[in-house]
Amino acid sequence: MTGARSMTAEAKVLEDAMRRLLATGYDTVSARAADGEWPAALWDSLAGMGVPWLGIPEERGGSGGEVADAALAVRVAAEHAVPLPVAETALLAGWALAAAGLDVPEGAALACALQPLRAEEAGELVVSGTAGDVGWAARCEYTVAVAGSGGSSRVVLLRTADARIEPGANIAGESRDRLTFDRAHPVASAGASQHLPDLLLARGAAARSIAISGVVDRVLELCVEHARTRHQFGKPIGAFQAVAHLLARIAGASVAAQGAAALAVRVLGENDVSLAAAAKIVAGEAAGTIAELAHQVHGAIGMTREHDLHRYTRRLWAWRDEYGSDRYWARRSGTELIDAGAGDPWHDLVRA
Amino acid sequence: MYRLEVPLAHETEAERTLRGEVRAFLAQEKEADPDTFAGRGFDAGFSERLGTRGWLGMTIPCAYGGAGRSPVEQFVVAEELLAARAPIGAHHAAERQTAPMLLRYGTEAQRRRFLPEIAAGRAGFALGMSEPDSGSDLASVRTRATPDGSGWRVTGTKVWTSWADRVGHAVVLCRTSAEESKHAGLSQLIVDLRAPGVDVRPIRTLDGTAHFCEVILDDVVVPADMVLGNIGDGWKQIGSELAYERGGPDRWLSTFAVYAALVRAAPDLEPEASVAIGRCAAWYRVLHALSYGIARAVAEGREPAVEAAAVKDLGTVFEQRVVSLAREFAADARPVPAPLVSELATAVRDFTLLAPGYTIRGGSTEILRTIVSRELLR
Repeated sequence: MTGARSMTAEAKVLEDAMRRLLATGYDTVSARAADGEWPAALWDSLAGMGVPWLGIPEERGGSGGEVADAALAVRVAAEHAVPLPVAETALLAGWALAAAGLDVPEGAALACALQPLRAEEAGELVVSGTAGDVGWAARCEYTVAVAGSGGSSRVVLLRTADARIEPGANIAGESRDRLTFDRAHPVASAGASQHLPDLLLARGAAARSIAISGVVDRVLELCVEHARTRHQFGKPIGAFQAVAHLLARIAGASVAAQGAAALAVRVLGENDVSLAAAAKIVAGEAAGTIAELAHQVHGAIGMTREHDLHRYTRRLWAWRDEYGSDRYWARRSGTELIDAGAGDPWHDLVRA
Repeated sequence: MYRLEVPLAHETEAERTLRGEVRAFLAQEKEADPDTFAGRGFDAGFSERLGTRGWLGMTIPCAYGGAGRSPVEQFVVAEELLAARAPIGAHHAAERQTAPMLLRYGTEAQRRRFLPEIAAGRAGFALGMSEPDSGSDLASVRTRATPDGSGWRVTGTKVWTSWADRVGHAVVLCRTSAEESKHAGLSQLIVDLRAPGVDVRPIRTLDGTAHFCEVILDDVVVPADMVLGNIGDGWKQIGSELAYERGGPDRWLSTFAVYAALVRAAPDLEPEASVAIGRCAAWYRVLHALSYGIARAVAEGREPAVEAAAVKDLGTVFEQRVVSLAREFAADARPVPAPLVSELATAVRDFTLLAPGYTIRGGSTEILRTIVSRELLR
């Protein structure tokens, strides 16, 4: 695919390095054992390569490169079910800081709260409120949030330790925590657009769409491998047309996910919310289809934690609902298209 | 493992400009005659006007009367025509299949004779492929061409040949040798549909119309210079043709009129219709990107046949889904539905009778899935 993979020569070098690291340095056995835990050594390796801060300008403390490079890193990490906040740091929190003209704290993993918090200006700025489902918050030194008061919004960089943290997890075992700040003092802050929370939601949807496209490639690979090596009735199950056609449907849905990911990369570059809807709806539907069919191909062994499949299908189920489910985005973009009114519905979809 | 890789890219500025020009032309046509876009299907005058603009057979080189433009530009025009439900029957098969085939395999004389006429919208072609006993198993065709003097005599029956009653020629897949293997003995001949021995009968379909025809060939004389490509290469020739036919916009835009009617009626429908509209819109955007990517790949000289099969599977299943999603909102229990809701109901009814064909024509879903899975398991 060239969508999330359209890249510079440097990005290619980085991709290869990342793939080498994940193929050799990342022990899947320990990843399985440590479901829900923070793979510190892997984080250190990726951080050493600058991966979590790709696409953030160097003068703001990032690793530089294009947003497509960051998208590619998110995709590659997803292919290996890496349980780390690469997307959250590079594409959400880090992006929001840099876009507001703030520096990214050096070497730090960043969490990003979606629900706006309350800002109070009493001599100095203090921030209060609760944000749920914050990815990896308990493991991130800093949390980026939007804090509003009256009509104005600010991007704020908060110390996560200043919050009351209620740990949680999505069904993939990835940390999704609840943070409550009570008159916390931001480390830094800057004025932000009123639309920032919505943009973060759209960028999150794009990031998850890209990650889904990485995971589905891996799931297809597992399914083809299983259909080749699992024998029943004296032949590989892939020799049965019924099973072979399941593989074709998975491959078809993976192509749809690739298309969705290509739109998602554009969302990250252009901040086009209507494309985020298209990406997340199709990626979300494809994720559901693929998870269902992949389990059907794998049969009983796929239901175990002994087999690798769950590391991927559980993420498909979790990610299709994060940053707006396909239904959320469908209702929202459908309403906008209806309100667009009298024009030609085709022209609202494909612009001249 | 084989990886399906669809190249994805942005539209260029020039392509967007072209899209705008086509939209302006279609708006003019609509003003002149609104019925043009009501599902008329075949309109020789419309095809000629398109040819005059240089938007027909765009990839045909200028030397043969075409515009010498890229497959991507032809894709842009095709998308606009299909989304508007323009009557493309008079030129569609000739443009999409016959012209590329002539460019690849035709003789110089055949190119000079047919290509300028195709590009002008004056020469339509029918495709003589399926037979009563040969559908998915196309290589089993029995229509036979036997040598006769310097030419051939053709006998057999072709079915599902679109518009054979209204166009001048058909490219007929036939058996020219019985001894060789099933795939090796096939050839393509250009048959004059007005020649003695040709009998064209309409096939009425579910919707009551008859744009499909049965073509009965009884000892029809075909001159030697009307062989397309090489004798015995027919199977190979149509194989490459099917590859790029499958990823096109006609594989996901067939029911766009239903979606458009749903959007227009939506203010009068229950609010849940917005969810259906949002889902359809998302798939249109993604299928547009995928289909565009395949056109790009073809333009760059690649043959993404497996990817095109996967996109056709996704696209045709989606075309049907649009109708079933819209149906849930179209069946209005009120005695006097709002006018736009009535229009939606009519669109749903009309397309319900067409939709089953989408996952059959041009390679059934089952054939496509076999193509894709074979590649995966290779």
